[in-house]
Formats: sequence, structure tokens, C-alpha cells
Amino acid sequence: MKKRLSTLTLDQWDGRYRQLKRNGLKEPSWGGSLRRHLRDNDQRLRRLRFDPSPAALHLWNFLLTEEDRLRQARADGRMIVGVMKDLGTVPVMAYALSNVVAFYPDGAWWIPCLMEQQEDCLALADSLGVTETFCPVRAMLGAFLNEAHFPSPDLLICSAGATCDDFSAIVQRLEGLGRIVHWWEIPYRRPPVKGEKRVLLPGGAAAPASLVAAVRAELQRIRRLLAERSGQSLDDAVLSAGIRRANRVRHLLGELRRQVFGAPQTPLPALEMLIAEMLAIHFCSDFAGTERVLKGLLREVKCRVREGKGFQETDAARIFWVNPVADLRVMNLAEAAGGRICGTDYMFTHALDTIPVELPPMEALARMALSDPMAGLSKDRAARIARDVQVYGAEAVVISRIPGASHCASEGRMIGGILQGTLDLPVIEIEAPSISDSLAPHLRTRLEALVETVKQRRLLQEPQRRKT
Amino acid sequence: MKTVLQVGPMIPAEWIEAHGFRARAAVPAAAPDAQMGQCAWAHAVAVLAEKGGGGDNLVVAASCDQMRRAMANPSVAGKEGVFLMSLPATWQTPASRRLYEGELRRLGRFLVSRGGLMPTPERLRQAMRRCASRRRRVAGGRTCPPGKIPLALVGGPWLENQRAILERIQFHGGWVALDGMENGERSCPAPFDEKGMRQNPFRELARAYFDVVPDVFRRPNDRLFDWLGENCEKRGVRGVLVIRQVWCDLWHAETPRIRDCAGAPLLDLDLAAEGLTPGGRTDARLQAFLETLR
Repeated sequence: MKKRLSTLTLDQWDGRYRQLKRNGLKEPSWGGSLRRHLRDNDQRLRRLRFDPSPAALHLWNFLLTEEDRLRQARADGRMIVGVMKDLGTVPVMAYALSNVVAFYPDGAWWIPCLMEQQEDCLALADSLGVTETFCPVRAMLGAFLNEAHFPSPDLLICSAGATCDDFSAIVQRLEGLGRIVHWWEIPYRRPPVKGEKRVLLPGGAAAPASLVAAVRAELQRIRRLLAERSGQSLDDAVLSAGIRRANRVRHLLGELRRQVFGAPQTPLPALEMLIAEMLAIHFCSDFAGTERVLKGLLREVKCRVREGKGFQETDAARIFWVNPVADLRVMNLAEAAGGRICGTDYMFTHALDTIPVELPPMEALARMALSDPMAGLSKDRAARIARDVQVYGAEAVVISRIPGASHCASEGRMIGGILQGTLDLPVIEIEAPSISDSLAPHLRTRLEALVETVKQRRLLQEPQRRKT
Repeated sequence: MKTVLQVGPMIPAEWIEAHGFRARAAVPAAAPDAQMGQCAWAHAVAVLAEKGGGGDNLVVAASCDQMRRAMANPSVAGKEGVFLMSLPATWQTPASRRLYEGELRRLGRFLVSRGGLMPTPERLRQAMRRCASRRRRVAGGRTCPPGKIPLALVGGPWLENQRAILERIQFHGGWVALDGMENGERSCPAPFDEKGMRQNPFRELARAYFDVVPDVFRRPNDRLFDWLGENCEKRGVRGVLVIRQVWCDLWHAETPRIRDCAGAPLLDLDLAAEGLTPGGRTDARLQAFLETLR
């Protein structure tokens, strides 16, 4: 008999926390009740449903205390690097240095959601003419101006080229306001042509060797910059050690994904999995903390799988999710509609793949950077999604459009078309703003319709399966 | 002589002519069925590419995400006679210059595959001189007619049907003193250096375009504002029209900075795909703007 777990509301977590404390819960330095984050105005927590385990509590606390860690790093005299857009490459280099902390100001795109727009980030962006036709990442511009969400970085590094227009335009505005931005080029990953030397990238796509060399040269420049500004050596040995450390996190996440997406019942809710995956890109400003949190989650998940515990019925529709959601609540909604997430592409699959250790470190990093799903053809991204759909046995795909994002205008339909053509799967596109409450009935209806379709298809396919 | 239609900045007409083709800027009209959030220009170019460039070869330089993605559509990508050139956004490093030169060479191979000639240095020099002389003829002798208001147009590409705005500018008493649109004078290369041309015309061509052409997508893009400030003053510009596609983030984000640097009143016109109707909302805004400048 399968045991059904239940998620908790914030109010329910208060009682759960007291109970855990009475039972001797050991907490890391960032520990505490979830409710305390309301003091920081993280009002969205009131509307989310959470995993009830201590491991998930540590995950949430770890995520929501990043700002404290950054401020502590500043107080300790460590250099703070604001890395932008590349989602996973430059932090590997930065965290190879002992006196550097790197974070993504891009993460500010969740501020309007977490604070339910009770802050002025979007209003500040509006005042600069960066209005709602841009993706919610425009909140970052406001966060830089009000300095209320992260300390001003000592160094700003941003990738440009094959990136989304919104982000590139917003960072350029930031530079226009007097910030010094160190740009580096991530070229468009075109397919190699006949006779051209090609390189196979982590994740399975191929690129012309000349493009890999160009990225290597660009990253070399960033390497020199980091070494010079930190006053530390960033030679091959140091970099290789940094890559091995990053791979430890990637292996943990890989195992977590395999366990969660492959289990008969969902052993960890979609929301917590989304947050856990996000840790891969910059370790939430604390490498050791990231490892600790992920190990805790993996232990919990393995235990649940062993004991046959999960959050949904075993017949939940297995959904592959494409793109991160601007409103975290949508992940709860997907499960409430009868779906479970079995596979994801949150736009940073290159931060989940193992970085090749058999190559010289700069070559390995260049290949990893160029395997960014957003830097290449949509059909490459769709091919990887199709592969992962099959690996995790997903039965449907949700493409979550990010409002205003340049890549979402046409990419969703393209990927959807390719997947329908190759896998014969139901695919829907949804779009959710930072606060999607008013759209929740509509979103839920669409997700429920998808779940019903999946279940109907199972019934239709069952006689065929029996025959074969 | 076959024609090559070109879309986007920094595609040297000289390079196309040196391969034995005639270069012409493509100006498609709005195409139906653009998706919500999609740039009408990128969509129209993709539709043109889908039709194989309307019989001509089509070279598209992708300087933004919208264009890259429109051209990545499976119905367009790899289409015969269509070439997608990738423009680096950064420009201050040897690596990005090498990328640009690499793309020019790849364009050259495409042109040869389409029946073009392998260009000799001398043929490239001749094409460079010819194009430079053509540009000088077009640029010469522009004086604002009496009673007209000198304006600067600034923005990216625009559709054929959106260009009706030029007639309306005239109608309302304006005169284009500075063309900062794509394919306008802003997109012209620097004058070629004779010595550089003698030594290595390909390098000189790449320098004149890549090191010099100011554009909004370049990182950093300060040169655009330097160019604009300098030329607005030189031409006695009294008003600036920013003309952009509704979903173009790159021009949209920079409009406030253009306002700051132009030193003249600014009207921000985000054009719908269908363009402008005489007496319609956009036309009325234009009329009011020019009235205030009288």
C-alpha cells in the first residue's frame, strides 16, 4: 500500500516546526521557522504549499537567506561578483577562488512574486522606461537602484550575443546608469557545416570548433579579470579543482532528478525540485551549504522511495516542464491539477550536465558555456527535451511562457511543434505573470485538461499495449 | 547579375558585390499571423525567407534574439538560398572581431555556392571604392528646405507599409535631416583607409564596419549615443523620432537614453505591424509633435 504525503501551508508549517524542534531538530546557521521570512516581506509564502520535511525546510531557509550571506561576505571582506545571464559558467570560475562570492542578480526576477509586488523594483524599472513589455527580470534593474535586495557587487560580468533581448537591454541600461559591466561574448551556436571541424558538447549538441575557441578566448579574459581583481591565482590546477567541486553539485542534482522523476509516486514536490535545481547555477552563494542541502534532500527522497511514500496517486500525469515560472505558485497548481513533474528544462540544462574533467579546464568550460540551451537552435533544445521525455517517461509537455520574454514569442510554438511531430505527445503552452492568482482558474483548467488528455490516452493505448 | 537581398546591419554590400552579385536591402511588408510578443519585422523577414527570398538569395544578419529565433523556425532554417549571419554583440576584443570576420568568410562561401565568384583582393578593392563613391553621392548636398523642421529618425528596421510615415512627416512640415534608421546613414561604414585597402582589403572592410558602425545591440553601445549627439548637433536637429517595432526590447529600453543625449524633444513611436493611417492615432501624435516644434 502506497503512503500518501501531504504538503503544508505556511500556517501548518508553524506547528510542524514546533514539533520538529521539540524532537531535537538540528538546524544549520541559516535555520529557523519559515514564517520569519514574512518579516522580509516574502508574502508569497502565505500562498504556497510546502514539502513537510526538515530537508525541505533547510532548502527554503537556504534560499531565502542568500541576501544575509552576501552581506556577511561583504563584511568579511570577500569580493562579490554579480554574474549575469550565463547561468552556470562564470560562477564555476569564481567559486574556485577562496575570497570570492558570486551570485546572479538575475534572480531578482522572483522578487515581485515572493514579495507579491509589495516592493518598488518594478515601479523603478517602469520609471526608467523598462515597462511590462519586458520579461519580469526587469525587476533586477529596480533591485540595483534601491539596493534593498542584494549588496552592490564589486564586479559585474555579463554574457552577451546569443542571449535574450530583454536581459541584454536591461543590463545595457544598467551600464548607461553608470555601472561598469564586463561583457563577454557567447556566440549563436549554429550547426557545423560540411567539412567544418566540429566539437560534441555536454548535453549532446554539436558546435563548430571555431566557436568553442572563441568562447574559450572570451572566458580566458574573464579568468584574467577574476584573478586580477581577487588578487589570487586562477591557474589550471585551481580551475580544475573548482570544476570538480561544481561537478559534485551536478552529480547530486543528477541523482536527485533521477530519483524524483523516476519514482512511482512523487517523492518531492515540483516547487522544491525547482528551487533545488536553481542551486546548480551559483550555489546560492554558499558552496558547502548547497552540498549540505542537496544531500539532505537526496536522503529524504531515497527514504521516501524506499518506503513507498509520495505526494500524489501513482496515476498522476507525468509532465515535462519547459522554462521556469515567474510565479512559484504555478508549480503547486500543476500538482493540484493532477500532474507530476517528470523532467524539466528550466533554461539552464548546461548547468546540470557534468563538466568534462578529461579536458583542459578552459576548454571544458567553453564547451559547457556553448551548450547553453538558449544559445542554440530551438530544434537542438527540442531534441534534448525529447530525449529527456523518453528517459523519464513523461506523457505530456507544458511550455511555460515568460511574459514579455523575447525568446518566448516564437520558441514555444516551435518546440511544441517539433515534440508533437517526433513524440506524438500532448503539449500545451501557458503563460503566468509574477502573480498569477487572477489567472489561476484559467491555468488550472488548462492543466487539468492536459491531465485528462494524458489519462484518456492511457486508456486508448492500453488495449494496444496488451496486444503487443 | 543576380541580386542578394540583405536584412540587418553590418552586412557589407562591398563583399556581396565582390562576389559578383548586386546587393539590395530587403524591405518586406507586414506578414499576417505574427504571434503575440513577436517582432513584426522579424516575422516578416522569416516569412520572406520561407518563400526562399522571393527568388533572390537572402542574407539575414541576426543582431537580436527575435530575429535569431524567427530564422530558427524549422520552415526557414537551412532553406536553400537563405543565409543567416550571426553578429557578435561585443566589439572591443580580438575574439569578437575574429567571429565577425569568420562570419564574413562563411558568407563568402555561401555566395560562391550560389554561383558567385571567388573575390580577388583587387575585385574587393574595386567594390569598396564603388560603394564608397555611391555613398558620397547620396550623402552630399542635404539642406533643410525653408520653413521645414529638421528631424532625426532613429531606430531599427521598419516594414514597407510603416514607411508611409515619411510622407506624413513631410505633410506635417517636417524634414529628415538625419537618418539613424537601419540601412540609413547610421549603418554606413567608416571611410576606407587607402593604406589598409592596399595591404589587406578584407581586414579593412571588416574594420570599417565592425569597429565603427554604431548600433543599439552592440555591447557596450555608447557609440550609438556619441554618433547621435554629434550628428544631431551638426545637422541642427530640432526634434527626434524614435521609430521602433512594438516588441523590440533593444530600442525600447534605450529610448530614455536617446532622449537624454539627443538634446532635442523626442517622440517615441512604437509602430504596429500595419503601420500608420493618415488621421489615425500615430499620425495625430506626429502632427502634434511637429506643431510643438514650430
